Amino acid sequence: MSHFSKEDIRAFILEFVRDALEAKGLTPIDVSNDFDLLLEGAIDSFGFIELFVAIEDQFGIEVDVTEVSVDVLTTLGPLAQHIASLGSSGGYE
Amino acid sequence: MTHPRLVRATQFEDVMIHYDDVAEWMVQASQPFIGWLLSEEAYDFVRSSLVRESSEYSIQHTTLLIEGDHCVGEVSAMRGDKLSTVRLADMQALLAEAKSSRGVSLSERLRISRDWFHPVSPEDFYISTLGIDPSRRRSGFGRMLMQDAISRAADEGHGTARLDVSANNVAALSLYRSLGFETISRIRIDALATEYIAMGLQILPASDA
Repeated sequence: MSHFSKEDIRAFILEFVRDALEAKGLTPIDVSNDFDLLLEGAIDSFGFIELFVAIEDQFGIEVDVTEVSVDVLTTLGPLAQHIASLGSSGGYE
Repeated sequence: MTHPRLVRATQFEDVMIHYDDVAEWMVQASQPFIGWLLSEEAYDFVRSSLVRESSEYSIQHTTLLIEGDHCVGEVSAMRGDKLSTVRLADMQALLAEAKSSRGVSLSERLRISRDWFHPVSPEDFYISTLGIDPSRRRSGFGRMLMQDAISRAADEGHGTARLDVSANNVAALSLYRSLGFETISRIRIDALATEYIAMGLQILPASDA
């Protein structure tokens, strides 16, 4: 399995929502760790499923959208931190 | 006859006695979408969601209309930003339950339906379900519950009250129009053989009302 950091995940998420950010006149540099992806309209509910599928493909880890609390799931920094921690511990099992 | 009274469900100690009825009415108010999404499991999902902290169907968002010992109706409403969060939590709960059996078909249905409802602004006051005891319809209870929700929206400083209603639900549409709600958009959904109508009501600030 490849190694990756919280920053790698963060950058991947921001790339995933790039179009939605641009529509709001934002670039990844403008976005802080407490940015709420859901409430800011960067991603809808179903978009989180797509994001997690994309993260699994990119980083080769298993991530489960149902096992993350909503607060963590929607907030950029905590979400990146959570997924990075899964990578370092080898996933859920 | 006892005059019916409105009570926030969280402040009503006998609320649990009414859970089965309230869940049934919420399911009816959420048709045809919820039946298409969950088929015969819709009731169990809504019933279990009443006591979840984060769900569109959580009793926390509900006001009950009580007449004597009977609950005769409910209205559930919340801020638009809260709606986004609880709908995400509901999606998680559904997917978690469905992992073993029909997870793929459920997530396909979630994907298909993602654009079926007009967006709700974070600042809007969203009226999620209006449910009335079927044996007590045409008693003015729906109007009482809606007027309470609208005055709550005004008290909390919302500029707009929002709701979505199936075009099949003629009685509800007529009530909402008579209260001043106007159509924002109509979305034709062939899978449900209906249109969902997004409606909005401009709210006057409480002090001016």
